[in-house]
Amino acid sequence: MRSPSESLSNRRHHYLLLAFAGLSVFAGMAAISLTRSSTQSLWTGLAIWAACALVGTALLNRYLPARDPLLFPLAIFMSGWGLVAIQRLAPSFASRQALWLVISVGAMLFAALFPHVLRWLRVYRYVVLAAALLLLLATIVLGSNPSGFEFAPRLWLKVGAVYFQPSEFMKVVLVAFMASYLGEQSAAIRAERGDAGMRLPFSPRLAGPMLSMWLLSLVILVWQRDLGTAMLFFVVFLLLLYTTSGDWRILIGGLLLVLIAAAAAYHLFDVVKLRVDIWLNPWPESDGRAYQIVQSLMAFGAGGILGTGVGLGAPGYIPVVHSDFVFAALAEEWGLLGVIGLLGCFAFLTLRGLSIGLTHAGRDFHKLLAVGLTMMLVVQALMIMAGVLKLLPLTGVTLPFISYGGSSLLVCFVMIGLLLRLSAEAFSTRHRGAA
Amino acid sequence: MAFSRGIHHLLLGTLACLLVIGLSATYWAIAGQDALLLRDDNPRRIEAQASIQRGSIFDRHGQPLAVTAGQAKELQRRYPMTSTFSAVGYFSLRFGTSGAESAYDDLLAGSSKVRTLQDFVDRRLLNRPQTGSDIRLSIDADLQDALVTSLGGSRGAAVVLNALTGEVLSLVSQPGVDANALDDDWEELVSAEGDPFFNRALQGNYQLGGATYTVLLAHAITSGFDLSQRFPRAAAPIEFSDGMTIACAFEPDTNELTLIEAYAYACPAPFRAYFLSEPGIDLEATLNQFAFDKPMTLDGFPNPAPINLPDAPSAEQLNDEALELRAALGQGDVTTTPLHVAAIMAAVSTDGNLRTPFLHAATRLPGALQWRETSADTATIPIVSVEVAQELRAIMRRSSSVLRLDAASADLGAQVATSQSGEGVQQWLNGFVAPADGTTYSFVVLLEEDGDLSRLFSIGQTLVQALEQR
Repeated sequence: MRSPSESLSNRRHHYLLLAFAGLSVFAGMAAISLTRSSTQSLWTGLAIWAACALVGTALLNRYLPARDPLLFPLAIFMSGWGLVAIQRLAPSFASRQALWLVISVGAMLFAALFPHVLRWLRVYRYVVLAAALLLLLATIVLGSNPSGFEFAPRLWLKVGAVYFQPSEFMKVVLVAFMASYLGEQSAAIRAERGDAGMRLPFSPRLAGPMLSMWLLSLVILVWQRDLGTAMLFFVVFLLLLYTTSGDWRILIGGLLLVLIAAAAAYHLFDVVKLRVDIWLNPWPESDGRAYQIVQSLMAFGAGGILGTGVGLGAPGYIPVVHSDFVFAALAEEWGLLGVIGLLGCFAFLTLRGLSIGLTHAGRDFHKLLAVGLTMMLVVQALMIMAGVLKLLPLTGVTLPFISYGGSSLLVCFVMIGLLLRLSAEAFSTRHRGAA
Repeated sequence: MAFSRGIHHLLLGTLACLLVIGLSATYWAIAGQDALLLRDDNPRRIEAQASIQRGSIFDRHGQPLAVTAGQAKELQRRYPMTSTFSAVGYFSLRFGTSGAESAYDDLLAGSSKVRTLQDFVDRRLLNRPQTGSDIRLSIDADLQDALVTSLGGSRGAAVVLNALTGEVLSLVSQPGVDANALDDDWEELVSAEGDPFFNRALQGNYQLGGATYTVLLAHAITSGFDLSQRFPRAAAPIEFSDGMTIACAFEPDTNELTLIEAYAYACPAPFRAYFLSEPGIDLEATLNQFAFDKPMTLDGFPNPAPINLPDAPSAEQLNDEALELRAALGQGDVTTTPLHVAAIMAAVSTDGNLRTPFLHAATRLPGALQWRETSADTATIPIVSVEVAQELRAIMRRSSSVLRLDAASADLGAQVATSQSGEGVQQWLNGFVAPADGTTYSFVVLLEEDGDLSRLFSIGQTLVQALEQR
């Protein structure tokens, strides 16, 4: 057990971090208010965010006092930054995003505080996976796009007035399923590694799930034209497989499969061809097909080191800036310092998430789940940031916690909730071990 | 421990990827910044320009000629005196700049560079808009307005200089443009007859025509030619074998004229006779003495543009001698602008030294109250001696009485001339006015029209009165 003084000190740290986040979000909202005639929605959004932060911290302090101290402050800080960005870039969506924040923090608290959630994810993995696949199938058949454009990817399901993206929920489900499967197989895989040596990558225990995941990714790519999600699933799965096996040839093999799929997709799908073409050389079509990426790069140039200031840049020139390209908007108005701050947030998230994986002695499912959830968040962030900077082709995924998107925010917070639960269990296991 | 090696590798790999992202962002934000921001397809450039608090332009008496008005990021350039277009020009986010707006753009727009701590605080931290300096031109807006009104719908130009300093008091080119309506009327204006964007005063590279008679007269005075000598058949036109005919600008009462009288009526025959009787004239050197070999323009303005000259006569049409004669009578290859002729008139009416005309009189830095006078280019080119200048001035005085130009109290001299450039004929009225206050003004009025000179004289009379009353 922690001593009362240690617990009090931790709580003080939580509120101190929260105060820092609150000041940053307040400063952002205040800066935007200077450029608006009506500021009511700004302060309402700030109040909702502050309520989420305070209630979330209070409940976690009360019911999950021994947990990772940084994850929730990091997530709530980034989501606050995201609210500021959406208020700035797409004010008409801001109230909806604030509502999704309430739902997301609620879902995070459920995931963090409900004691059986990890066991259920492990035990009922096939049921959960089947349900998620059914939802995905339903998207393929019944999917729509909130924009209403005929040729836009139909990645959403509409229930009443609410759109949600089943592929977002698949992120949690697939990570849990893979962690559970690989956790069960890990002892055998490690044993095979000792026995089989060079033949390990061809073992059915590894090659089977890898090919299955590859095929699932292809299905998502073919049926939904969702390059980002397909890539994300496959990459995270590869990383989990590598963590389990420790064999770098898994990564090489996976990379080869990605290249094969990419080459085929380039020739088969216009959307993939377009993204690769404008990635390779956007400049000749800077006012046509490559307008978005060129404007994104210009936003980085316009921002410079210190940025133009919140509300003073021109990120509106980037189409869909509040979603896929919010990173470029931050770079323009917050400058390189803002970019470095955001990268620092994701670096801390990686550090804290993976350290949870390291501290779960002897519980493979928990380790792999922590690694998988962390990687799902961070790889997604890396993919979109690299796309926006022309390091990779654009993948169309959101920037976790920052971009507009209810389903995305909800799932990100659920993953944070699960990581908090895992950190709490790691702490109690360690504590029991020490006792 | 199981997985720990793999997890550590993932951690390192992820941090490395984040580092690469950071480096890439650093590249675009710092190293690649200029290449991105200076691209023509960067809409932020236009937005940045729209947010610049561009400095105002004033005339010599402080009348605003161009001001910036409107809300932040939607600033608009307004021109209260449309008659000054040919000097002030325009500033448009869509169509660029011209005139003084272009020549002094760096001053008017201010600098985007951060040089001082104050710049850093203003630009980088407070994001205050870039602010430019105000400039004062030497233009007299009222005089300019009077000249534009008197030119009316005619195509032509008028230039008035302070002959003692080189200040440009008036710079008219007609047809002009209302720069306030530029965005709406652009398409019409660029295809309008008479090319209103073509600055005839500065860029109209016309043939000299009778304006060369001043040069020949200066040569005659310098060489001690007997100016009382009469030339027979002085009013007869001169016809070249390629069909071009030049004649007196208006008919004299008699057919026998001295060079001085021929100068007043702009009759070419006596000057042809003088030129042919003086085989020692080095025409090129004589013309170059008046700096016709050097394009003259105002500081920051573009050089004169070539005009649509008539096709050069072929060797079969004109022999070398005829070609040289043609050049001596102002119809050869040498061309010049009204500004240049006004500068020559300024030299003749003062000490014989050619001064470089200037338009930009003073600058007022952003936030400053005091104007800082522009140091004028004091370099002069001697084109004639003081004595020759005095003699020429006296001849021009006599000419002005022939032209029936009157000044109540000022010393007035003038010369009329015609020239043929392109497919048109130009009428020139060149001269000086020296009111009793000791100032001397030189002027040139040019009309792109043939026939009766009454309109030219009427404009000249208006100008003389306006200069007397200044």
